[in-house]
Amino acid sequence: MIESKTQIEEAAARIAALKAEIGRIIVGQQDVVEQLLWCLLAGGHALLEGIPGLGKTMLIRTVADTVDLQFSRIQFTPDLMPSDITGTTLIDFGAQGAAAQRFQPGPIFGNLVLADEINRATPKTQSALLEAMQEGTVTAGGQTHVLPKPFFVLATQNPIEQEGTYPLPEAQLDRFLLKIGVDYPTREELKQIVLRTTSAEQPQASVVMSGEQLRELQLYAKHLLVAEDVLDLAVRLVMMTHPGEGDSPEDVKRFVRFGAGPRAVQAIIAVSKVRALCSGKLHVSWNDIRAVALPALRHRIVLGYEAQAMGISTDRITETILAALEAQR
Amino acid sequence: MEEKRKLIELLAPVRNRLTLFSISRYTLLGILGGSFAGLLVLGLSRLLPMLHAKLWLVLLVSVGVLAGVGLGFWKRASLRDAARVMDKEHTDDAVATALDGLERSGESEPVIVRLQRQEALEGAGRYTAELRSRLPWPAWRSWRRSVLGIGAVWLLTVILLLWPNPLDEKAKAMAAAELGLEQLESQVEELAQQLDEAKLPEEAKRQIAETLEELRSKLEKAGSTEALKELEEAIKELEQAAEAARQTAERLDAAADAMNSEPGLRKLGQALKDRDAAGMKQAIGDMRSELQRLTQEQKEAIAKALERLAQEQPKDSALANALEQSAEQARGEGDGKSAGDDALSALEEALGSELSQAELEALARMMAERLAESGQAAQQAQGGSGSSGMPGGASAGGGSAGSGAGGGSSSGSGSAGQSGEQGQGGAGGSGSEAGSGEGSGAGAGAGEGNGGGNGPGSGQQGSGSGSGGGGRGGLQGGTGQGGRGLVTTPRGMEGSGNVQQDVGPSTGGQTQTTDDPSPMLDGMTRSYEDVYSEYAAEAKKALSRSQLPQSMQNKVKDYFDQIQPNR
Repeated sequence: MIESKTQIEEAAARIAALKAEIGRIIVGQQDVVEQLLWCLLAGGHALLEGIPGLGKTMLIRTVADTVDLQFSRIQFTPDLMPSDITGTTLIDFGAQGAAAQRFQPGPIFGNLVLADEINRATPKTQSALLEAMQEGTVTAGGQTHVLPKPFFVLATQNPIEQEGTYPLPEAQLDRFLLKIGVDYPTREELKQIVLRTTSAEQPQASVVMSGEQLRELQLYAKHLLVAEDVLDLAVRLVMMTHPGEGDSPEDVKRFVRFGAGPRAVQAIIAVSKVRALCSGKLHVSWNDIRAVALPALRHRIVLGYEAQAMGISTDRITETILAALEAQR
Repeated sequence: MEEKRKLIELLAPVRNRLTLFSISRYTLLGILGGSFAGLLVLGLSRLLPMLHAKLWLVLLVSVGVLAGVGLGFWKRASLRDAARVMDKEHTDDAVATALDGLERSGESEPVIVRLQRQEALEGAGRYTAELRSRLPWPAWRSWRRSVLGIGAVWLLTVILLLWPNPLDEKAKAMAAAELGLEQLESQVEELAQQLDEAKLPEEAKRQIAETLEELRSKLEKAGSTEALKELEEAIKELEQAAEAARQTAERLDAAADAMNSEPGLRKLGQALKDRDAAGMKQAIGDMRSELQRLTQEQKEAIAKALERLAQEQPKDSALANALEQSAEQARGEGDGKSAGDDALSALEEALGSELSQAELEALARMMAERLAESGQAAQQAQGGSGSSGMPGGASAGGGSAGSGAGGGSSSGSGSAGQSGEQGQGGAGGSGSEAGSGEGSGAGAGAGEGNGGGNGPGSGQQGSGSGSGGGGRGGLQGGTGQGGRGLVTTPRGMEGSGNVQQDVGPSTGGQTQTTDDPSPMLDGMTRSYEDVYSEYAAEAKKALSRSQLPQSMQNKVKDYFDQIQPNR
């Protein structure tokens, strides 16, 4: 429970320290790191999308190193089976030949699970993640096993290699709190990357936050205030992604097939609260909403064929809606 | 609690300033709307006569201003609006969140709400400290359209105000006409009241009262032109009523004169002459008592006088019967005192009725004259408005107040009545009952009445009979305007009627009617009044169609004024 402003300021300082520690390893990608931390503090899963070699996997490993959480990694391949993720039931033979069944937990049983190249697995295997991501449980051999808390799935996917990949279904995409786009580093960042990775001294991330502290920060974030006006703006933002909505922008009506669902508003408000906490504020503002709108809606808006043919992105649609809302405000 | 109050105090100046902006904006729009509406009214006044167009302009602008101020105040900013404005640029939704907390907070207010409010208070305090710079008046760009619109509308308004409007005079004239009609209506009311108060038999008053009531109801419904027509009808009816009463009065005068020549009836005659009902009663009472004392010869003289008077009255009238019975009683042929009493009582009653009729005549004539005056006033006002004006008939009506009535206001009508009376006696010139005395009194058809008066007595339609006895027609003729009496169709036919010279007494005489063939055919003659009214209306219509100079128009109007009948 928040009792004083100092608690919030200390929370903000801890988050800043975490970010700084990650920054010691990861060069640049400030937005990606920040958004990844939003997911972590909001208790949601993140999907990182970017071409190979941009440091996605390294970023997640670094996050796992800075937070005292159990980390596990799953490399998704087409022949990956669901039981390879969730675990399987084994038969143990005792000393006198007695046999007993034993559940062998899979790599999903961790606090921070890296699902690397998630779109390379078959839909059947991908769907094995659904229950884990939504319910925090795994059912195998007729038994349901509770996953450790906190539980985060940080997945990566490569957008350019279409052959041999299986796009994530919308139902699964919706379960990721944010979809974080990983872009190329700038020239200066690239120089830094080269210098760091080719020198003899490799920096190592240290643990700056325990799992308990992480849960405490998550609790603080949930207590932050949201004004009625701000909540109304968030709802209108999501409603305006629907092509059938009266006050939707023309681009939405033309290019969008399906708008975002209720999880989008939940995600926007939850992540906005975290962003406000990172800023040391006690309330969510329109600026927070605007900042989290792109990663929160990016994977929740389904574009039509015309948009795909014209290269229209969901980010552009979201920016159009934000501009319209800003004008009406 | 202190923090809550402080938050509202910090929001209040922002809210007031926003309300000021709102009122200013809507007031500008109100001025623009009101001015535009006023401009439309001014433009409309160039197409239609509008008396108070400028007043409407002022009124509409005022209404626009008031509506703008009212709307601005109605859409005044709330505390929530003030919080939104503060948050939009400067306080990052802190004030709105604090206001939410303020509205939702109960007794157990979470700590975070209080902490957040403190944070918001700091931001709000900084904002209000620099309110004028943080919330400046809206930029000129947002006012420009309204201000330029107002300027353009006012420029056009000034141009229209300075540019003379030819319809203004017409509008004033129309308003004057309306006023005239209203006065006429009140005049009718007043006359109805006078009639109601007059001490006359109800039966005698009924016709006039009905006429006035009909006129009043039609005046309320009809327009100005229709009202004038109705007025003309009413005046005609009143004149007819007056005419009927006047004939009675003349008979009464004749009877009074005849009685004056007989010593025994002189007192009664004088009372009748003076229209003194009480004196008449007194005279009859005296006569009743004197009859006992008179000699037979004196009684016979009185009886003969009464019989002569009875013969001069319309046959089988109540007065004639009463006079005959009284004569019999005077001779002593009645059955005693009671019979004599009955005869003299009947005479008293009949004479009383005649006196009432005489009073009615005066009343009806007075009403007709006053209505005619009001009608002419209304007509003049309406004439100025450029409409068709009072119909020709109404003009005749105005003039006819004195026509043939023998006592009217028009010149010569009094004596003309007498002369006409002579004419009707034996002139036989023309005019039967149809000659209702429009006052033209010209010679008729074949015969020219030569009554002792100014002109031959003939009615306007009397000429149709060619040689009618003209009796009553003659009564109404004789305004001395003989030259305009008839407009005859040129023809070669000459009448062969029995022309008689009137040598009868001044009191008229018996009406003679002959069936001699007429030199004219039906429809070949028209009265001067008809022709005049038609021509005058046509001339007015022509003047309104063509754009003649005003001097020329005046000449035409003067011409028709000069030749109008009964002038």
